[in-house]
Amino acid sequence: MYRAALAWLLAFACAGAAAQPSALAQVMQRLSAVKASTVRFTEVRRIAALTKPLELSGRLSYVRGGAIEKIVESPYRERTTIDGDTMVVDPARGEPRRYGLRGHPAAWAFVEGLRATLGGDLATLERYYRVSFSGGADAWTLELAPRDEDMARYVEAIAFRGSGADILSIRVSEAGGNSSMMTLRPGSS
Amino acid sequence: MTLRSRAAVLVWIALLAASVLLVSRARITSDFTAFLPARLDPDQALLVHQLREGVAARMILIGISGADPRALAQASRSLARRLSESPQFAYVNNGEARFGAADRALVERWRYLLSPAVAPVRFTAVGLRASLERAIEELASPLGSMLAARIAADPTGEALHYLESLPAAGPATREGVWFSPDGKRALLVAETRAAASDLDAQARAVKSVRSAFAATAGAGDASLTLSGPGVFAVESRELIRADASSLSLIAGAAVLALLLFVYRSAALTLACFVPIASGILAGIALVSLAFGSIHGISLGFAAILFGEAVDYPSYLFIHNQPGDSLHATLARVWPTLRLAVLTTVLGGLSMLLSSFIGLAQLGLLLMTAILAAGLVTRYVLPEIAPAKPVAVARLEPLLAWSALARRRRSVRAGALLALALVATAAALRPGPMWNDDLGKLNPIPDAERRADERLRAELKAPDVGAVIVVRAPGREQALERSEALEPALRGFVRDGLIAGFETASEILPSESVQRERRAALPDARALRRALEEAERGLPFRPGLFEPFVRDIERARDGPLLGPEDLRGTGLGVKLHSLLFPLRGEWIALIPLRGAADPAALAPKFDALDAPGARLLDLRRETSRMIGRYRGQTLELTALGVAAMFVLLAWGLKSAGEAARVLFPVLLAAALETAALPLLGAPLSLFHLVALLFVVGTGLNYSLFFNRAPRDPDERRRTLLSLTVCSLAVLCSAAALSLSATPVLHAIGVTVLLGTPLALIFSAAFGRERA
Repeated sequence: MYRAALAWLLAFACAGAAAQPSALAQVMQRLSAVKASTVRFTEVRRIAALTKPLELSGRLSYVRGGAIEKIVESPYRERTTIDGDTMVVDPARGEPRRYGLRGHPAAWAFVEGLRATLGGDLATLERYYRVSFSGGADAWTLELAPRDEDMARYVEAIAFRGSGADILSIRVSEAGGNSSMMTLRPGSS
Repeated sequence: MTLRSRAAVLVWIALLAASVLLVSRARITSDFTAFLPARLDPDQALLVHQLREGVAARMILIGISGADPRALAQASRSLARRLSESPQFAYVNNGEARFGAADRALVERWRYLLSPAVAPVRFTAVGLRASLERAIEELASPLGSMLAARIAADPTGEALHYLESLPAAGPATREGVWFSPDGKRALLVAETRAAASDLDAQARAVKSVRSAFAATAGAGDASLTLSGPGVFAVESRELIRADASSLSLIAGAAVLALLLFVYRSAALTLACFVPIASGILAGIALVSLAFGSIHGISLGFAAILFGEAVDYPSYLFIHNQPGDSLHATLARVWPTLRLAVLTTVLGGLSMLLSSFIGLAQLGLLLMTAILAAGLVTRYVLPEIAPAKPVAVARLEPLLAWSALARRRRSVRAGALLALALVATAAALRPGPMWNDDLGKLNPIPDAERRADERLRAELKAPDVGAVIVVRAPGREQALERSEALEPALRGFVRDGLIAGFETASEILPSESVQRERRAALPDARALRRALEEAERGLPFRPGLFEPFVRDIERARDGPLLGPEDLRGTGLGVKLHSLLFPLRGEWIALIPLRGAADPAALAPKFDALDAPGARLLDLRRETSRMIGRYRGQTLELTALGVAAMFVLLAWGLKSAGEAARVLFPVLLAAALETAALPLLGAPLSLFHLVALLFVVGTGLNYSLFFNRAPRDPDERRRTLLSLTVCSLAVLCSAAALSLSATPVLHAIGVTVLLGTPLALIFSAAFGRERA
């Protein structure tokens, strides 16, 4: 459960790593300085249940200490919000559904880890993931592998590519053959 | 000692030993439903069932406050986990998850019989197409991987349809758990497995909650508030127990001091306690034998009997003149004393006949104790007590009040005038004369009552308020009748007549509805064909929906869902509270939430003319029931007084004499009945009990005042004995009036006021002798 949720949530974890402490620290510091942002994204979603990948596009927004929002605009409309411990999925057709994240330790560990990361808290991030960092502050790759077995059952690996405080792509590999490759366009909104 | 008297003493000792044995095993209860009638009509039976067994009655409401929200939420989670591990609780919820794993598994398994959306059109190509388009979005959503297996088996989302069709009443969540609107208190509910009337189990449950909270990490600053009927019942039992035992001690000590002062003899003082101690022991033994247990309030009432029954030995000892043996004194006093004992016993009889178990207990206790005390005074005391005449002269100051009684004309006129004035004032006084609220019998302080109301409102917990009761001869019919009401009830919600409702049939549909749903499911071939058509142009992997086809097939061929399948789930607990057998029929309850205007609702409900269904306001029903039986008690009291009159006429061999004896006592009782509501307390049943007691003791006074004394010394001894007796009653009544338990307090105040009135009126209206 929550495999994709975790993967997706992690997509917001604009985080630093341990390989080159100085570059990692620099990236972390710059990420934590971000107070709010909204960017356009395109996502290629490969789902085991479907014979061909889905291409989604829309907007992502983040406010430090507040809600994280993913708005799909094409090929259909859907708004997903994470606020505190609750995820709300609001499809254009159908009623919004609310999911409590606390009931699922893996999901909750992830959300807590994510928030710590966004706040520039490397120590907390490392409590949840094995972190590897490569490249320099201007072109970096951050790879995360969940430490928690429960969570590893859903998410195999997450990789961010970025430049400075900008995240350029997020790749999430899920167990069971699902994956997501999200490309972000910093500066767009 | 003669052989006969020796036999009497031996019988007394044997009975005493048997009583002690029984009393040592007596079980004390404080279940306030004991003060409900024993013979019940169906509505009342349901009411009592709800008060004793109902879910609302078994719910412990829990609030945690006094720390920051994060710490409170942490404590709430930890407490909820500990409590759900305990076998004492059937259901624990702090808002983290509405449905547990067992509920989800149940719904998953039975979804095609449970979901209200199941209909033939849903499984046609057109119906499926809409579901499948939505399924793609769900798969692509952040929760897609989590939902994949569910979508393959349940693409039409029947499990969710069912769960979402159930009413969700609960407070808002914060940090993932329920919180009060101001965010200062984390909220939980825990439902005990034991009935609310099983006080020992309730006490254990309350203790478990407290110790689980104490063991909760980080609960340091936070404080725990517990509420709910069970919690209150446990607390009142403690309060009443403490009250009853300490008050009995205080009353006993005060009376002891008085008697020591009067007799200046340890032997006589001790002997004074022998009859009443025997009587109370015998009374408690008989009550617990007859009723299986004794109510805390009955025990508290025993305290006042201390005052009454030391009377009998006092009449004997004080009338004992120098040179007389106790036997000789007894020979002179006994005819009057016998009448005094018998009239009081008659007063108890009218309580014993009451439909209220509690009153019947009090009646039996009173009758047994008084009769036993009378018999012990007559047959045992002369054998074991010394003859030590009291020096009346020393106690002359105690008789000062009798100067008042000698001004007979003024007292008589004053009494009648006071009665007229007070009765007029009472009649003109606004507000109800009677208090029929059962809850007010609880000794729970008002502050805690308010805390309970607040917690209840914050938790949106079920309140014992408006409810529709559906009756049927069988379970299925009850479910069907309840089901038939649902559309009309939804209309009521739309019209704003009610905020919501809960039915058993929403949880467990009737078999006929389940059959209808089962018949709506297509066979595997038809379903595959419809799926194929619906999937056209959508990128689903071939064979993805095989689990769906398999599950529909299984539901088509499978059995219907019965209540036993819900065992061990939260839904099962809920169902059980809404659907249960009672006295040979089945009851389906439909609690209504937020019925703001019952007067507007009632005609709309009546217009439905639903078979077997009645709209009840449980709170009003309780008061009505108490009121009705209060009327019965009044009738019994009147009958009791009439019986006393007959007994007096027989004993005094003159109806005129009997009237003369009875009149001042009834006058005192009437004056007091009118005066009590003016003093602030509307009358309750228990005032009535206390009034009966006042009449009983008052008759003692009146009988002795009307008895012809042998000489002036005896006349003064009579006056002294009555003075001492009424002082003894006042001592115990004063102790009782200190009680925090409203019932005991009411009895105390009534006796405290009535006894002096009865004494003075008896003196003023009694036969005039030089």
